[in-house]
Amino acid sequence: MSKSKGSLLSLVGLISVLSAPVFAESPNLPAFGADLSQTSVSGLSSGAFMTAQLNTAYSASFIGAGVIAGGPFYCSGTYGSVGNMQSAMSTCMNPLSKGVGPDAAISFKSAQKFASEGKIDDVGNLKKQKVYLYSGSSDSTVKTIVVDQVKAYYNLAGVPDANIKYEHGNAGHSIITKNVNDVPCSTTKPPFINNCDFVQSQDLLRHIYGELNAPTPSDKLSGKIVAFNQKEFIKSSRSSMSDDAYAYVPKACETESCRVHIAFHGCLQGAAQIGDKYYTTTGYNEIADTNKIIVLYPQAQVSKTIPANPQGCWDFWGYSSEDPNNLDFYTKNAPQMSAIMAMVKRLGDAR
Amino acid sequence: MSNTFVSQWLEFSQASLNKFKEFSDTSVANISAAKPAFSSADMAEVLKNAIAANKQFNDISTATFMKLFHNQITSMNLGNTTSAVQELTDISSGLVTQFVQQQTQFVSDLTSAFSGYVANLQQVNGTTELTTVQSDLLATIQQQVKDNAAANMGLLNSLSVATSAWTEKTLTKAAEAK
Repeated sequence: MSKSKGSLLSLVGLISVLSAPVFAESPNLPAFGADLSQTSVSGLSSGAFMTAQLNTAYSASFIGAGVIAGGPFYCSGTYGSVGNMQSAMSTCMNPLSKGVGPDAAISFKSAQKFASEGKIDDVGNLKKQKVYLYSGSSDSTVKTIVVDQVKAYYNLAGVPDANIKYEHGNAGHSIITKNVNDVPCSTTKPPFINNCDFVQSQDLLRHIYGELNAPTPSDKLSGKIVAFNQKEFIKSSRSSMSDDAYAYVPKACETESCRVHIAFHGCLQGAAQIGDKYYTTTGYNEIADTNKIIVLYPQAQVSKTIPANPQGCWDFWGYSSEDPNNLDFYTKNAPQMSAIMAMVKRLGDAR
Repeated sequence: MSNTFVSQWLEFSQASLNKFKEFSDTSVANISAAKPAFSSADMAEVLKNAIAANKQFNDISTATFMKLFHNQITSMNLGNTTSAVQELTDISSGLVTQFVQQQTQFVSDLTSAFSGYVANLQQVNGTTELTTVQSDLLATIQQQVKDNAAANMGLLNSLSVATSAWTEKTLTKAAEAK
């Protein structure tokens, strides 16, 4: 090859390398000096199970929870003779009868035991909380008899009925909005965001925080979606959490100290599956905008091999545990929960 | 405990699947040869099969299921078993309800697919479109059969979990009563 041809080829190669797309990491989650004394959490489906789990394991850190179509803490461990995964897919979702479904008494007893072992926070913290629950009559994915046990669990924990808002409707398995373009109310199909003519996220936040200012119209939001590097907080190769996650930060929260709400999507609802639908169209941002609430949207992702999480669900049965004979998914050290609480702590750090 | 029940269920589920496989194989061969793939008789046979599975299940579960569980209770010698029997009845009832719901949905989905096919046939213009429409129906039915089989497997899992959970609860109560 002639010298000039060789130089030309080298130049072409160099240009190719330099012009190849570089997938930069998202920036790290900024600190916003948030007021972490008023943190709350909610979720749908596996996100609801994660809500109940996180809310119990870190009960000292939360003032309230919203469980939409989910079951009680440690549901998958209800029956020792049934494997956690098997239980998660059956007992905790669509048990054949109430008698072989989740059992609030067993869940609460487990919580008390784990607390005495130092694995989770003192269950005494739960009694101060406000709890929102929802079950739809058209939901055959997670039956009402499962959600009923969440109410029973919080009653056992000392939460008075006045502080528990348990709503029923005819929704399919979904989080509910008032958007005419969303799935019809009683249907169950992706992206599991259904129009039942009310904004569920806003109802649950009102229950947790009390009277709130009216939400901003969706096209007039003051704040912004912050995409951040979720990997920074992940210490385990089994977390099945995405590289990126999101937070909605109202304009006011850039300078003032705001509250934090964690919103968990359900299975098949991570950003890789449905794009930005969960973190931009479920109504959280609109009410957060006028009430100084930062909404944190952690992201789980599909993992087809290790760990086995083919639907991108949050872990409420143990797939993220390093030792299958010593499951820790429900403890404060759990890979997912410790990562999420680290994100919350970051939001509370000084700017 | 539920071995006979489960094996009978699997048997007729397998028979249903075999029937669909025959249907699929014939249809694929006909589509490839550009022959008419589905007659109304074919479609009626598929629907009849799905409905028959539903009835067979009902017949089996009512008799066999409770007989199996009663045998189990006797062998466990639990003394006062009224509440245990009631819970078993609830499980059986839940199983039947869920299966019927699933099969009803399956039959409904099959019917919709066939109705859509017939409507499309009326607008078909030429052999290429005919092949496309027929292939689409076949793919739709195959997916529906797959989904139904998955739902049935899920129900089998629920049954297995329910029997384990029931046994554990019943034994725990019996031990606490001593």
